[in-house]
This record gives sequence, C-alpha cells and structure tokens, in this order.
Amino acid sequence: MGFEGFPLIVGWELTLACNLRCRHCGSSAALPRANELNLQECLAICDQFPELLVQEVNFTGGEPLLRPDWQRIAIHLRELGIRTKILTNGLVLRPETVAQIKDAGIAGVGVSIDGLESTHNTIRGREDLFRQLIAGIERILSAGLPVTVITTVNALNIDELPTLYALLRSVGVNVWQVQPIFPLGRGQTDSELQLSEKAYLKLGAFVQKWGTSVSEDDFELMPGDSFGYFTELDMRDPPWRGCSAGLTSCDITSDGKVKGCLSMPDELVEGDLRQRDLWDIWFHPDSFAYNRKFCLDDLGPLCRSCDKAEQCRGGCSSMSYGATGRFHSDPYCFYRITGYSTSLVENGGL
Amino acid sequence: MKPKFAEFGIFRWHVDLEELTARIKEGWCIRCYLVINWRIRELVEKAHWEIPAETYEMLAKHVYNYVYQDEMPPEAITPTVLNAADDFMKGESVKLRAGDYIALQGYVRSMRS
Repeated sequence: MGFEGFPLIVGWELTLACNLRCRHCGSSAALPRANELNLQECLAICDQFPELLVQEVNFTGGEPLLRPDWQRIAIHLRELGIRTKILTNGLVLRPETVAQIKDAGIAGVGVSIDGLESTHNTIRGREDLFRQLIAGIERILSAGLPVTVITTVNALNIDELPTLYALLRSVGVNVWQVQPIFPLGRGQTDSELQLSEKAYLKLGAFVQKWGTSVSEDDFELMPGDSFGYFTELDMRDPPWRGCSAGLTSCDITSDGKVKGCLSMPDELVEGDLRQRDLWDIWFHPDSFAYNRKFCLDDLGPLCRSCDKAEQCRGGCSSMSYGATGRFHSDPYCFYRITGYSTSLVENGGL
Repeated sequence: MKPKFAEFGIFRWHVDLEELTARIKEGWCIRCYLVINWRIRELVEKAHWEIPAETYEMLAKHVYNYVYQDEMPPEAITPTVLNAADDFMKGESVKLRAGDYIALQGYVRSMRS
C-alpha cells in the first residue's frame, strides 16, 4: 500500500526577494531566485491543490508582499475554497496594502517581531523599522484581520520576552508564536545569536509560565517549530508526534521546487513543479523518505537512546539537519537536555 | 460475476443519477490514515472536505451503473466503487478511505491524459 496522506497545509515562498537582510534569516533572503514562477505558473499550481485536499496555503518568502501579483494568487486560492495566510516582515504594511490583504480574503497575517525596539532594529538592520511595524500591526487589527506575531528567539532577545509580551498586549495582539533560531542561512553564521541549551530551557520555562497563565485571557502564546519535547515545558495537546513534512504538509519554493519544509536546504528538493505536477511528486514512492520511511535505525546519535524516539522521530527535521547535517538528531530537545526526565522537579529544576 | 442485490433480498429502490451524485457530494467523508509512528497507523482525520466535482461525479456514475445497470466498474477503482455502493445501499453517507480516494483521483487523472 502506498502513502495515504495529503498536504493539508502548503507553505509557499512567493519570492525570495526581501527588502531586509535579517541576521537570523534561515533562507538568506535578499534577491529573487534566478527563475521564479510567473503568475500563470502560480495559478496553474493553485489549480492542483483541490485534488490533493489542500486546506491552507501560507505565503512566505523572502517578503511575499514584494511580489506584485500576490493578490491575484490569493484571490484565486479563495475562489478554490482554500484558506490563505501571509507571513510578512511588516515593512510594507501601508494602508493600501492592508486594504489589499483584506480584499483578497486573507485569513490571517503573521508578522515578525524579534525583540524590543532596539533589538528588533539591530537584528533587522533598519533603525526606523520597529515603529513602522507596530503601526502596520495596528492597521491590520483595525481592519479586523487576525494577527499572529512570530518571534524567533535568540541570545539577544530571550531576556526581553516578558516585556515584549506586555507590549504586544498593549497593541492588541492576542496570538504570539515563539520559536528558537534555526542554524540555517544567515542564522547559521551569526554566532552572537545562537541559543545555548540553558537559554533554550529558559525559553521553555517562559512558554510554560506565560502560556498557561494567559490562556484564560483571550491571549494565546504558542510554541512554533522546533520547540519541545515531552517535558513539563512542552505540554501541548495533542503531544508532539514528529515532524509533519511530507506527511501532512509540504512547501514550494519561488522557482517551483517542492520540499518538505522551506527551512530545509535546497539539496532536499523532492521535485520540480515545472516538470511534474504536485500529485506525482507527493505520491511518488521515494518522496519525503526521511519521514515516510523512517525506522529507528535512522536515528542520529542525539536521539538514539531516547525512549520517546518512536513517537518523536528525532524532533524537527529542519533543526536537526541544520544543526547536525542529518535528520532525526535534533539538539534542541528539553527531554534530552534534562536527562530524559519529563519532570524538571525530579531533575533538579532549571 | 456481479451478484444481484435482489438475490440477497435487498430492496432496490431507485434514485436517479443526479440525486445519487448530490448524495455523494453532500454526504461523503474521507477517513485519512497516516503513518505517524513507526509501525502504527493512526486515524488522524475524518472530515468533510471538498473533493473536485469531476471526482464525485465520476464516482456517482460508476456507483449508479453498478447498482442499477449491473455494470462492473473499471478495475482500477473497483474496490472504491463497491465500497461506496455498499454505503449507498445501506442508506449511509459514502465513506472514502484515503486509499479509495487516491485510487479514484488517480483514475480521474488517467482519464484526463
């Protein structure tokens, strides 16, 4: 029997062009790729989604709003009955752009904030960015669109999280996603940003404390990719069951390549949508083998002795690959760092 | 040789193809099993997702032909059509396992090319 899952969520890098040069960017986004998909190719790809039961498409980049025809693609997806969200750095959230986002029926806008004003501007390389960003978020909220703030946690901003929380509440944001920096792209080479194991545990403790205490107050603090696993610092429900790349999700690059996750390097391409359609790539017996054909023998040294490995499959595939050069060996794991104890009290606390 | 429903004492009420198509469109669900854990198959989704019109129309046509015209479906989708016909004859909404849907959609795609 062949694989019987569907790419329910598709991440789509609309362009690799970006108007910022963020120090942590895992895609090293700057200029567009050499041969990015044109509008007709994009619309034709959209038309392939319904038969694969795609439920949600997330536009990302680069900066997706730099692509002049992003709204045409979003409207086409809406006509196909597919929910669409946008992840933006917030630099172009001008009134007319916010109106376009609303008109296109975008279901949610993710905006990156990477610390308080000085830190955010330092990481993003623009002195005036933070205030523009907050004004843009306020415009989106005023338009009645849901906003999720996404913070890539690193060594420069981890101590600012409590203050940032208060700031987000004051602006009116009520969904906040935090995730550790990935050692990929520019994020791999900037040693000042890297999270130590101790800092990673601190992030876990922050989510545990604030995620629990604020959940009753119409505010959701949720962990993003590569956060966990199996300790009281990660009490997500349902529990972590392993990377979804190639099982319930896949991503598309701006030149039409299909990957399990955009955070993975380009050497892990499963197929080219200019040569084969998504159905053929998705259901090819050799596609996404790292997840679909996983067995315990595939575990790397960091996960080999773990009693949760069968369920976990070695954590976040992109984090594992970026940090160690192989799958199924994710170094950012509370359970491993704390000596395979689910209770930090038993383990002597943080 | 396809068994006749009458041989099993099943009342063979008649709906037209249009109504049968509407029943499949409105009532279907997909049961999606995914390999999440090693050697463990887990039911993760059961939802009423939209499927392309040409797909449920194709399914309805073959269910109709099987039930009312005694016509066997194409080999590639025989299990899918028989499962759907079984649900239909029991008066239940059509339940497609993910594998049934993949076979059906694969057949639709092969008809296009």
